[in-house]
Amino acid sequence: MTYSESDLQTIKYILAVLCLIAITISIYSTFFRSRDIRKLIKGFSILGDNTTKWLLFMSFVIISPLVFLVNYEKSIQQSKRNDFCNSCHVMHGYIEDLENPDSDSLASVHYQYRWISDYQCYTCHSEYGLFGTAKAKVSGIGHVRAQYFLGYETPLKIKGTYNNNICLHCHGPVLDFQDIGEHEDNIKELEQNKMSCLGADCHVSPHPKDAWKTNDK
Amino acid sequence: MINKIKITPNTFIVITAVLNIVGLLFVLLSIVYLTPLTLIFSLVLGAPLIFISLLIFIVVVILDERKRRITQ
Repeated sequence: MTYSESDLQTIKYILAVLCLIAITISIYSTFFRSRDIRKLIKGFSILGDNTTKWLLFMSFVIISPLVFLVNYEKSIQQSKRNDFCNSCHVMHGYIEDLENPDSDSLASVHYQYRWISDYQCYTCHSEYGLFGTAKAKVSGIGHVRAQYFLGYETPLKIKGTYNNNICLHCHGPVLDFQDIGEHEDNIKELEQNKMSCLGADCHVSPHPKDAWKTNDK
Repeated sequence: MINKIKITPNTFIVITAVLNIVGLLFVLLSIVYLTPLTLIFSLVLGAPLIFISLLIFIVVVILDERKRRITQ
């Protein structure tokens, strides 16, 4: 399910309020409410009071898991946004280039003309299908590990070979693409990633080679 | 010293509440300020704490109910 930006903002506020309600219920029921009742009844058990038990049930069993699960769904969608990728310093240069109208890099052109309408980073850096999404999430965890804990080598390089099928998913069925002789001649090699779409006399680099350096300014 | 600490259902409920609150704080952090790190904290720390507290609560409530029925 895809939510609009305004929906995501509304969900964010609802979740924050629910989260605070659950925290308040937990603190009140466990530490304050039961303490007051304990004063009245010696040997009081928190679970002996039905109201406290139901309040805790609401907090522990209903609100908390619900908040987590809805936030998980929301966060996964929000993690596809460009500004999420941009939250790592090393990505600043790439996003600056993406948003630069004078840039002629492949990524920037795709962004400026909105050939990819939303989630431009994610669309080009995740493979299609269920396992493509899962693979993107796993590699995302690897990026977080590199960013915060292990560090990374510069200049940044893509792990392995870029999968041409991500390009072909959109470009492949287009007649303008099929009409070009080089595409027709090399389609098998392109599909099998034995040949890159970039370099030689074909397509320019997707990002400026020094984009990672912007971080050091 | 350790033998003197009496573990009652109340103790478990307090532990459950603390785990739940800490888990919710991690989730709240990712709700308010979503970055890769807060998202990972929410998934790796928040989720286990919330679901462990849920399990402990259910087990304690079931055991407590059974105990009450036996004593009645």
